[in-house]
This record gives sequence, C-alpha cells and structure tokens, in this order.
Amino acid sequence: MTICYYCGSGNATLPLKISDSFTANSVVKCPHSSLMCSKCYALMFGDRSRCLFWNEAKIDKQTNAKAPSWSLMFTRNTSWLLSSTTSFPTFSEDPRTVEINGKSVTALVMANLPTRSLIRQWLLEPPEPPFTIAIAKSGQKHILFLAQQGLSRDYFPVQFETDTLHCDRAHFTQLLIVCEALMELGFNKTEIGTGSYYPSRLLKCFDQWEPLEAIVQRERTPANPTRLLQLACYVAQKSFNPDLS
Amino acid sequence: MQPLQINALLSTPFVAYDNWSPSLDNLLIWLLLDRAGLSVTMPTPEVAKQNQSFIEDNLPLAIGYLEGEWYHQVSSPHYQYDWETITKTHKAWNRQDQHLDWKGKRRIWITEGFHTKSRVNLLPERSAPRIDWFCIGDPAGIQQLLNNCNHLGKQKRGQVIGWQIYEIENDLHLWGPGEQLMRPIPMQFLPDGKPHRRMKWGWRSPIFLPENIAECALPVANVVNFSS
Repeated sequence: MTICYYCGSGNATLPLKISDSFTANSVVKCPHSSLMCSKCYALMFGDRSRCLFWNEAKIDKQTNAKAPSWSLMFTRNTSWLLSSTTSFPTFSEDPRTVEINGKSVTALVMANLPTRSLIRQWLLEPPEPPFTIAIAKSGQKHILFLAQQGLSRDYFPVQFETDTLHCDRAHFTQLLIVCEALMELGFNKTEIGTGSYYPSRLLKCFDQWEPLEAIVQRERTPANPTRLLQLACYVAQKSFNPDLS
Repeated sequence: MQPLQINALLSTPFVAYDNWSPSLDNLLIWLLLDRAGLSVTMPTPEVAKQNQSFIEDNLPLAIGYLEGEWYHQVSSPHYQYDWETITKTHKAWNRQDQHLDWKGKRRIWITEGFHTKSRVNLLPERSAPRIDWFCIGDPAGIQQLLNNCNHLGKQKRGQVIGWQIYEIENDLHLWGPGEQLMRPIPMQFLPDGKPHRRMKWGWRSPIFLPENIAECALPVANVVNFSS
C-alpha cells in the first residue's frame, strides 16, 4: 500500500512520522497506512514546515511603533491557493539565513500569503482546473492534507478550516454580493451571519435591508449560519461596490 | 432482479456532507457484512478485498457494466429538504479499540496530546421526510437487509420510520425520465451535453479503494433545497 496516511495520495514512499502535537488522527485519509508522501512530509517536518516571513505589520513592544522584521512562521498557519499556473503562498528556492531575536535562523522564505481578497477572487473566478483552495481560519491546524482538488470552475470543493464545502459558484457569487451589500449598509459580519441586527442600524436602512435579508435568511437556520454563509462572511469585503441589480 | 424504487421515511433530520449521500449500495453492503459478522469499524484495503467475493455472491443488487467497468445498479439518493443546520459533537476514543496504539501506557490523557478527544465541528443535518433511490435488485433480499436499518447517517440521526420497496416499470438507476444522470459515473462514460457536476469521487463500493475512485460526473438535480 503506497497511500499517504495524511492526504490519501497514491505516491507515498516515506516512512510515516506523526508529531505528538498532531491530534487529527481521526480524520486522516488512510489511517492504516504506514507511509507518507513527500508533500505532506515537507509541510509537517521538512523544509516547508517553518519558513521565514517578512512581517510588515510587526510592532515593537517597547516603542509601540511599526518595526517590520523577519518572523519564523509555521506554514500550517496559512491558507493555500494552488493551481497548475499559480500558487499562493510562494517559497524561495534556496534557504536564507537571518537573525531573529539574536539567533541565526536558516529557512526557506515564504511570501505572497493569500489574503481574504485574493481568496475571494479565487472563489469568484477560479483558475483553470485542477486547483485547490484551502482556507485556514484559525491558523492553528494542518488543513492542506484534507483539501480536495477542484475539477470544475462552476462546482468545486473548498476546504474551509476542517470542513469541506462543495461550492456552487453562481449561488456563492449571489450570496457574496448580498453580504457585501449588507456590509455597505453598515452591518457587520456577525450580524449578517447570525441574523441579529442592531435595531438602531436597522432603523436607518430598513427598506434597503429587507430584500437583501430575504436572500440571506435562506442560508441561515435558527441556530447557525450555513457553511456557505460562513464562507461568504469570511471573504466579504466592504470596499467592493456590489452590483445590486 | 427487477427495477425498484426504494423509499426511506424519516422522522428526524439526517446528516449529509454532500448531495450524493447516503448511498444505498454502501448501506446494503454494510448491513450484509454486519449480518454475517464480517463488518469492522475501519476496514483496511486488504479486508475490503477479502470481502468482495462474499458481497458479489450475496448482495441482492444487480451489477451493471459501463464498457467493462462494473458497478452496482443503484442511483444516488433523491430527496427534497427544507433546511440544513449544523450541529457539533465530540468523538471520544474507545480504549478497547484494538487498532489504536496506546504505546504501553496505563493511563491515557484525552484532553491533550496524541489521543485527544476530537471535536467534530460540523454535522450538517438536513430535514427531509423521505429519501428515494432507484435500483435493480431482488426486493425480498433488500427488504430483509433493510429491516435491520433504523437510522441513516452519522451519530444515529436520521431515524427511519419505515422502508417502502416498489417494483417499477422503467429502469431509472442510471438515466431518469428526462434522460438526466441519476448516479455518479466516470467522465469518459458520460454522453455529451448532459448537465453534471465534475469531481473526483468514489463511485463504487468500497469508496476508499484507489481503483474505485475516478474523475466522475455527478447528478445535478437529485437534491432540491426548498429554502433556496
């Protein structure tokens, strides 16, 4: 059996290694395998498990001012957008040596981390198949091994944290436009997701809110928003001007 | 073996991660193996291949062929649901489970570390009063197996009130009345111009074996969501 323990791919050649901090053994694709593939090994234990990242937003704790510097980051913290032509994040070919907190660190450099707007763009206009979309919401779990490849631009799987959503592009586009229109009216993502809107905000724009809420309401149950609505709220951007027609 | 329509009447919502579950052929195979004492919680590929001959001899479903590729002649589930909600549950490790390696320890920590409880954040439940399948099979044999099935899906949700098996005139397991696709088939067998979803899918049982996974065309209109 040459199936990878983690992702289930059929080209596993390396002996299986499981970290003590990996606790998702109940959801791996091939629990009886004793092998892992080189891709999973690189991400979990190899040169791509921790990478250097130029952190523009880092703040100096003493001066409270922006102090961009290098950080050593786990790659499991990032989202992944993979296709045959472009991939995010990108990795340098050769490792680089930098100084972090007085210590010399050598690792690959990771850049072009997928932002929410980039993920939004891929969900609305996916690249030519095959492609993979894995969105890390918490940034604390390995999720890429769970992701499935999309083979169609109109209906494709999206790995959203540990859940696999099957995304109908037309339906999702409509939902996203409505969510962004509601954000333009002044509502936040929590209100849109739960359906509990602040009355003071409702009074200001009730007539515009009502038809939009009628569409979003179908994606909401009394207890929770559906997975698709959660995804739409995650990538919705207020700065885009939605076409309300 | 004759064309059949099988209905499951449900009293509670059932868990479905996609529009092509629950699968009747996988359900009947599980019930058959369970009755014979051959079912295991997490079968390995070797165990699955060993059971294949038993399944071929005893499963009351017809086997069809698409250009030499065999498959069980059962459609995807067809149903209409009003709403979908998400529930959460915890999975705790069973200490008696033989396939887990306790590494010689007497006391196992389940709040952290290798054997932590896993919180299953997502159980998408769908509320549908009835699920239909179309197949070619032996009605008496299928009825005998389904008599032991009281629920559909994970966590014993989807309580089944009763099963109905009708003999029908036309074979609808592969192509529907409007020539729509009724079950997943590999892309190379799909005629041009048929509406479908395209995904990598385990289209034969057992679905986890690599030889049963292919780039498939899946039915589009088998599940209708009333709320949308």
